[in-house]
Amino acid sequence: MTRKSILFFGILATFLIAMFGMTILPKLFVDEHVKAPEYFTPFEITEGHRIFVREGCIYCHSKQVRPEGFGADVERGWGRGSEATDYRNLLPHNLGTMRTGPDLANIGARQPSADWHYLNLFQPRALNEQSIMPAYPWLFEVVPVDARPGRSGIQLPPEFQIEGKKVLPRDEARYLVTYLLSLDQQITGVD
Amino acid sequence: MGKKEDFRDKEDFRSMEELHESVLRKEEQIPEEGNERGPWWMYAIIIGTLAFGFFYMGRYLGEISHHPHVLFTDRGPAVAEEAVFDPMETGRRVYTRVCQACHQQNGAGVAGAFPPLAGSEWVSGDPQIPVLLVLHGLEGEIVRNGTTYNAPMPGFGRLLSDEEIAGVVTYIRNSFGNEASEVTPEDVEEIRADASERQRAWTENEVEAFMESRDIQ
Amino acid sequence: MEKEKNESEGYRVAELDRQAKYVVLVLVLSGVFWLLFGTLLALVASLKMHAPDWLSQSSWLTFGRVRPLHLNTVVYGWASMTGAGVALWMLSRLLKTPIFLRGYIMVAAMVWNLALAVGSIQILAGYSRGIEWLEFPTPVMVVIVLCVVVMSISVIMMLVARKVKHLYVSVWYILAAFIWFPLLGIVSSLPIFDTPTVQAGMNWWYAHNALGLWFTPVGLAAAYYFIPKVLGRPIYSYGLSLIGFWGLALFYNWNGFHHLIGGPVPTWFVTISISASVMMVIPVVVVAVNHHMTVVGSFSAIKYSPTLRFVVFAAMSYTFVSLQGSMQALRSVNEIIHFTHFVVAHAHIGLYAFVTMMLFGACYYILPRVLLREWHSKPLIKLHFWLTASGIILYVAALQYIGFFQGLAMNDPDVPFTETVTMTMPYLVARSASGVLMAAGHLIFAWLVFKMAFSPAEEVDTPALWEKIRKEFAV
Repeated sequence: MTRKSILFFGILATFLIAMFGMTILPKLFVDEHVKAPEYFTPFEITEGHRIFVREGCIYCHSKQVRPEGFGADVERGWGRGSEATDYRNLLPHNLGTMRTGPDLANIGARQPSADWHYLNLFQPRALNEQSIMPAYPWLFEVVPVDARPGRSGIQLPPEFQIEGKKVLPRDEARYLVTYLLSLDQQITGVD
Repeated sequence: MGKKEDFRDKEDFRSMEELHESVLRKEEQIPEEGNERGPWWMYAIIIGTLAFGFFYMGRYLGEISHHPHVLFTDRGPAVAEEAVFDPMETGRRVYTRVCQACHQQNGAGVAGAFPPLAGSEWVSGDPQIPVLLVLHGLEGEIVRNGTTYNAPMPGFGRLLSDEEIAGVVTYIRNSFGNEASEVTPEDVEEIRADASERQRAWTENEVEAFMESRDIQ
Repeated sequence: MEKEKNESEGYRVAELDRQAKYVVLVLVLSGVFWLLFGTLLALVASLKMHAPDWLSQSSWLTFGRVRPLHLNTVVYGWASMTGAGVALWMLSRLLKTPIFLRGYIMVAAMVWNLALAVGSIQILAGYSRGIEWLEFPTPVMVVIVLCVVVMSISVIMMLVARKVKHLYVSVWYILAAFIWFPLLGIVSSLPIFDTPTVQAGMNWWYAHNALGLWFTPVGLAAAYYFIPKVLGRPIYSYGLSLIGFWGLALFYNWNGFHHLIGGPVPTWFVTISISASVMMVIPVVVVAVNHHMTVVGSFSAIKYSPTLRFVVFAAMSYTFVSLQGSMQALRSVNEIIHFTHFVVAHAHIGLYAFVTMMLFGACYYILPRVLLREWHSKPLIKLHFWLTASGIILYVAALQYIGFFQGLAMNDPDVPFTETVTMTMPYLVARSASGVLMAAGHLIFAWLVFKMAFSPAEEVDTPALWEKIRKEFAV
C-alpha cells in the first residue's frame, strides 16, 4: 500500500461504523424503554450501590440471570431471565462476567435475612467454611458489650465472638445490606 | 578449538563498534514482501467462515427490537415440569436454594446465629408450625440446646409456592435424623388461607399460644 | 559502490536509533516498572483466592480493589507504554524518519506515569469507576488518552514526512492502533451511556477493542517486523497481509457483545457480535499462514535468537487465542464457559502469551540498538523465556481445564454452588504457582533492562544469541 488516504479512510470508516452499531444503536433501541418507568431510589440504596462498586463485588458476583433454556440460572432459583428494566438506572452497570460466587441479581428475594448478610460480610467462613469470599471488617466496628445500649451486635457463632465485645455494622454496611436486599427483579418487573 | 566455544575468538566481531556496524549494515532494509498466493485450504477456510458467519447471523438474529432473550422466549414448558410431584426431591432443591445458607447442609444451623433444624421439636411436631414459620418467618430471642439465637428469619410466603413449601417442610421433617409425617400441597394451601391476614413474623410466645389454642403438643 | 551505499544507509539507521533512544527508553522503563507493580498485585489477588483471610484487615488490599488495579496497571502501564515505545521505534525505522515531537512525547510519558499513579491510589482508596477495563476514574483515563494523542500526532507527522514510498504492513497496523485507541478512549469517557445495559454494551465494545484495536495491531506489527527481520527473509505474501489487516479492521470492531450472551441486552446485537467473532477466523488464519510460511524452514533460528523465540511464541499464541475466542463466542460453548475461570485464562493468553511475550521479544531486539550496549547475560534471557512461557502455559492449562468443568457443574442445578468453588481450589493454587514463575521471569527481565540501561557492560561484546552464532541470524 502506498496511498495513505485509503489507509486513513479505511481505518476511520471501519471504526466509526462499528462504533455506531455497537454503542449508539443499542442506546437508540434500549433507552426509551428503560427510561420510561421513574424509579424513586432511596439514598440508602444509591449509597449501598456505591459501596458495592467500591469493594469490587462485581469481580466475583455477576448480576444478570440468563433465561430458561440457557445455562441453569433459572433452575438454580436465581430468578427469571434479566431485563433491561431490572436495573433501576443505577450506574455503573455491574452486570458482571464472573461467578466465583453466585449471581446476585435477585439476592434480596433469595436471601432476605439482613443478619445473614451482616455475618457473611463480617466473616463468610462463619457461615460456610469453604467460602473464599473476602471478609470486610472495615464495614463493622468492634465495641465493648455495654457501649451503645439498645444496639445489639451482629449474630456471631461462638468461635468468632470476641470476649467482652460486640460487633456493630457501620452505616456503610447497613447501606450495602439495604442495597442487597433491594435486589429483587420480581419487584422491578418486565416492561 | 576447545570444547567451550567463545565468540570472541571465533567470530569476526572484535569490538562493540564493529559488532554493531556489522549488525547495522544488515539493517538498512525494510523487510521485503513476497507475493505468494497461500495454500488452497486457506481459501476454503475463508469461504467456509464467511458462509457460516452469514448463516449464523440470518438464523439467530431474532427480531430487531430492544428485547433480550428473544431466542429463548417461545419455548414450550419443559417436560420435566410435568413430572409427578416428589416432595423430597422438590424439598431438597428448595432447601439448597433457600434454606441452606443459614441452616446449613446438615441442618445443624450456625451456633449463635441460626438455630438447628436437626432434632427440632417444632420441625418434627405438628406440620402447621413449620409451614407457618416458612410462610411468615420468626423473630425474637429463642434458646435451643443452651445457645441463644436472635436473628430474625424472613417469611417466604411470597417467594415459594404451596408445592415448594410442602416439599421443603416434608424434606426438613425427614432429613438430618428427623422423622415425621409428610405435608401435602393441599395442607399448605389450607394453612396459608387460614393465616392469610397475618403480615408479621411469629415470635416464640405467639407460636406457643397458637399451639395451646389448637391443642397441639 | 553497492557496499558504500549500504554503509551510508546503515549509518542512517543508526542515526534514527540514536534519536529514538530517549523516547524508547522512557516508555520501556516506565512499562517495566508498571509490569513489576502489576505482577505484585496479581500475586496478591491470586493468593487471596485460596487464602481469603490473608491481608483482609485492610480495605486497600481487598480482592475487589487489587484485582482491577492489576488489570489497569498491566494494561495501561506495561502493555500500553511499552507497546507505544516499540511501535514508535518500528515506525521510525520503517518510514526512515526520526520520531517527531520527541520532547512532547517524553513529557506525555511522564504525565502518563503520574496519571497511572493517581489512578492506582484512587482505585485502592475506593474511587474506582466500577466498569471493567475502565476502572480508572474518567479524568485519569482522559489524561492517558491525551498522552496517546501526542504520540498519534507524532505518528501522523512521521507518515507525512516519510522517506519511503511503499508502506510496509507494520505501518498500517501502527497507524491504525494510534488512531483507534484515542477514539476508543474518548468514546468510552462520554457520559451519554446512562442506562445500565447500554453502558454494559459500551463497556464490552470498549474492552474487547482495547485488546483488538490497540494491543493486537501493535503486537502484529511487531510480528510482521521482527520475523522477517531476524530471519533475513521476505514476508511470505503481501496479498495475505492486506486480507489480514482489512479483515481485522472489518470484523474485530463488532465483537463486543459476545461478552453479554444471555444477558439483558437486545438479542440481535449479540448475534451480530457472535457472527463477527466467527468471521475473525479469516484474518487470523491468513495472518497465521503468512507468518508460518515466512518462518517455515528456519525454525531452528529460534534456538539462537531470543527475539525470534519470544515473537514466534507470541504469534502462535495469537492464532490460538483468536481461534479459541471465535469458538467461545458460539452460544453453545459460551453457555458452559461464561462466568468461569476459563475466560480469565483466555484473557491471559491474549494479553500475556501474545502481547506481553511479543513486547519482551521486541525489547530484546530494540534496546541493544538504541543503547548500543549488549544484554548482560544470555543464560538469564533463556531463563526469562522458560519461566514466563512455562508460567503462562501452566496458568492456562490449570484454569481452562477446571474452568470447563466449573461451567458444567454450574449448569447442573443439582450440584450445590459451593462445590463449583471447592472443585477449583487446587487449580487456583496452581495459578498462584504459575504466577510465581512469571513474576520471577519479570524480575529477571527488569534486572536485565535496568542493568543495561544504567550500567555500561563493557565486558560483554557479543550479540545476545544463544549457542553457536549463525551469521545469517545475526541478532
